[in-house]
Amino acid sequence: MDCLLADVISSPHAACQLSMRQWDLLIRQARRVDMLARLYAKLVDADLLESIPSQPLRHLRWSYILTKRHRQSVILEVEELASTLSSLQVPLVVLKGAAYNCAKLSPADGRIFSDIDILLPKSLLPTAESLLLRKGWLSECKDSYDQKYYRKWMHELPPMRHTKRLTELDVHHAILPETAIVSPSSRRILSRIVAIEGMPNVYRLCNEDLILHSATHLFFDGEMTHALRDLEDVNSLLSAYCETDEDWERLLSRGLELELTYPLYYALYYCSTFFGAVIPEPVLKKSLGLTKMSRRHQLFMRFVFDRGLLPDHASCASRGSALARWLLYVRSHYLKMPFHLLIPHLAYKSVVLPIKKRMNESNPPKTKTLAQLLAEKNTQVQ
Amino acid sequence: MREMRYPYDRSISQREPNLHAFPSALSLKFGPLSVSVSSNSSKTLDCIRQLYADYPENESDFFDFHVSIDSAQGIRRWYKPQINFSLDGFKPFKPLPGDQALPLFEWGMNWCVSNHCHDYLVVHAAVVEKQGRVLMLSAPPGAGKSTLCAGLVCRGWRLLSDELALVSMSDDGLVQVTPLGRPVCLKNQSLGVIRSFSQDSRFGPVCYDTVKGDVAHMLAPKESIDRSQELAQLSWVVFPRYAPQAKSVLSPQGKAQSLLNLAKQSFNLNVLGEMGYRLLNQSITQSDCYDFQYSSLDDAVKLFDSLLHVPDTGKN
Repeated sequence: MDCLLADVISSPHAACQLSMRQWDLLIRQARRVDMLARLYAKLVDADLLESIPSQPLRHLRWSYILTKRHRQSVILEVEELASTLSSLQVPLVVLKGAAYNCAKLSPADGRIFSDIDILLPKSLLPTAESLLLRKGWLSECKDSYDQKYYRKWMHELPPMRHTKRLTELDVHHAILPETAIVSPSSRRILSRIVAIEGMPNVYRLCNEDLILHSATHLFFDGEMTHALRDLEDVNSLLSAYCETDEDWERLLSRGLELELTYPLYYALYYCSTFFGAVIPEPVLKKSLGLTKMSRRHQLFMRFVFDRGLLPDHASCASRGSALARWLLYVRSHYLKMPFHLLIPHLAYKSVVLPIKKRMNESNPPKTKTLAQLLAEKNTQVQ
Repeated sequence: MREMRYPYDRSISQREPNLHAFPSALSLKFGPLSVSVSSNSSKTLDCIRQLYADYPENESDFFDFHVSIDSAQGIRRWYKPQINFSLDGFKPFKPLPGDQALPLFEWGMNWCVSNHCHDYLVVHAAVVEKQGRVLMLSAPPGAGKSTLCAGLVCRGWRLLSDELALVSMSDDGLVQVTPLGRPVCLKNQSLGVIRSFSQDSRFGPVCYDTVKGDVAHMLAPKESIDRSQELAQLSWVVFPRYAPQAKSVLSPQGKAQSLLNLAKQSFNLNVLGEMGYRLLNQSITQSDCYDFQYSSLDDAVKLFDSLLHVPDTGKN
């Protein structure tokens, strides 16, 4: 792989040898995938700040200042959510960034997560939604089709945003849509959650599930703009939780149990190619075996991920990059929905929605009051 | 300012960067920042060159920001042409009509500064300096801040910044302002006002019908550009308001209210958290704070010049 950023992330000492030209490129690549602050954290860990030229260093520091602040506000938001949802009397499970931040796990340092994700049992979603609405969390989707789409097919409520603090919240009932080609059992995931110290009733996924979820999110997603950053999350979780043969064994068998062998294999493979993660050869082999992919399928995947995982920056572009990104985008839809659902959905998005938008622009709809929204919500709940 | 060719030499990456994205670029440096500007339209670069002719080139191989102002391709080349601002491929704004490249560049640079430079408290304010003492003019858009700033600059005050004040703490615990020294953005009637106020003022091209009305940029005086590495201490915080026909009145403003006003005009106070508050607090503590109502630039300049005779009391 040919990416300066990946090289420096995997061996931070290389940063001491860079010319200003290389620093210029490194900062550009890191900014493109939102890894400036992460790079700063790596350099702090390796005690290298003293040997970094001040001009590029300040970009890393600026970004790190932002993440520090972000971290505080995520923890406050989660505490607030825990109290808002306490009457549900179930554990509040935080996912991804919110979990890393609250539990102070390794991927959190120098990392911004744009939204807060929580996981609740499906049956409680309507109640949770009205509790949240009362505390100022409003749905982001104004379009009735989108509302229906999320509620019927997706693994989460339509995204919500807090009216005052503008934080984004995704309330999940599963880690993949029910229409996806695999659907890991939420019951199984919820049966092994771990309490987060110092935050009453707030939980995270167990170690193996953290890794699997992070990998799933990356390798099922079409939005690959920050793929390298997301891969580094997995890498950092792997190095924290997988040391002994038993650890690896547990990870592989959990992958099989949750039907996530395929994202697991690619996460392991690419963590070792991009970041030099030390993954025992038998583990990698076994993990590939579990996916039951044909050789041709593997070659195709390698073609798209070799390119799609690199920063979307001119310096990392190679022949086929644009095609690979497009294929990944198409593939992510196909993975989430079978064709007989996908085609009408895309048709709506590309034809009906633009017309609707155009019409709304010429006569904008009246804004609704909070009371009206509450009334609507109550009828939906019933 | 220097012209250069992309790409950087090939040794940095074994793979050749995509040449077509960056046909040619300008290298410029203002205040603490260096910027490389590229565009697929030579007309756009020419416009920017007009505004930035006096600025030094960046001597380092490292640029703080690589921005581009590209005309949209495809059907938009002929039908209602559009332009995009991007920071290294990231587009923070929606496209603007094709003839607004210059305002877009300036707004884009403001965005770069206020969203990245978190070593400073970035305040929405014009800043000028005379005899080592800094006057900060902070106000919401449309209050006449830039016009006043341009007027003062035409009468010998040094331009530090027209739009963004970079506030930081010096080693002795006093607040200082770092110059940016970029052109002053003037709107609508202000253009005529400043043109007739000073025959020496130089302007870039006028852009008509932008979201902020007709916009043009007054070039920064050569002296301000040359001294853009000189920081200076904050002495006055003034909240100006243009009121037609009104007498020019400078009335003292309470420190608590001034702090709240300035907080409202800060871009990254929430990002800096405690440090931001300390900077804000010290800014107000060491400065004399005023509300300022004005209609005549001549009176305004006289008033602020007279402040220079009052000894600096704010410093501890």
